[in-house]
Amino acid sequence: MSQYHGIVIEQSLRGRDLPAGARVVAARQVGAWRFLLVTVPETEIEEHIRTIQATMVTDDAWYAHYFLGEELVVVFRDASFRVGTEPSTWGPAIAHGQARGIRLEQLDFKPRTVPDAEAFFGEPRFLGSVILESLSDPTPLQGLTPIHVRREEHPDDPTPLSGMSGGTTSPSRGCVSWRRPWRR
Amino acid sequence: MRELAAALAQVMKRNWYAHFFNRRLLIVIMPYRVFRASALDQATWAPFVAYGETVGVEPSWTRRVPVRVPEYLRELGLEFDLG
Repeated sequence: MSQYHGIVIEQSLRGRDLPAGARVVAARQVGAWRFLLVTVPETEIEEHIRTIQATMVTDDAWYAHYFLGEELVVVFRDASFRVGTEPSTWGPAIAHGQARGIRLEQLDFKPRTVPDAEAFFGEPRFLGSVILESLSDPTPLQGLTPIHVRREEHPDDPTPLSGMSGGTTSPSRGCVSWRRPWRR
Repeated sequence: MRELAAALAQVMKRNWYAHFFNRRLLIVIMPYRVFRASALDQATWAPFVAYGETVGVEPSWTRRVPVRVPEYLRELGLEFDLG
């Protein structure tokens, strides 16, 4: 099932509770605002929009925005707009936001792609795996610190595997362990 | 991570793949290709599932790549605190 990614500012919510079904996958504090990256199942987006509109504070103008593929959904307390990720389609949403007192430069709907969201919120560490036998040259693994090493034999394939596993404290690389997709 | 994945793709043998994940992203490394997909949305996995079939990695593997730490550790038979 596809998921919308959304950007919600925590301070825009009364009680700061997200509607059920939405999942916070990252957060970043920028000045006084705490930006939340949320995911909402595609099938639940309409209900989510209605719920979050009812949850938005009433003494100031805020918006949240969601994106999935080429679609951008801009949600104000009193209206929502389904537009595209191309700025040329944003006219109605921008006009509504400005009419509610939101400055034009704040109606930039960033980030609005998953890669941009990753860049904005920062990429979490990775966990993963590499089988030494799967590589023609293990040079790329140099510099990674193993967190686990295992040798294993598969009943259908008697060739022992040297599993290198490892990790690094570098946030940009994360931990490395290994797994093998058994060949048939 | 990007540099590591790109380097591994250049030395990955046919019939094999490696994968890395975090709570949002899934990176699948196959011979000469790196795929970035959503760990939260299997609908984004189709490109690497399709490519895998061309390099000898069956969909039975690529459609069930573990992207949650508990299931991943269970598959590895590991039980330890990642700290």
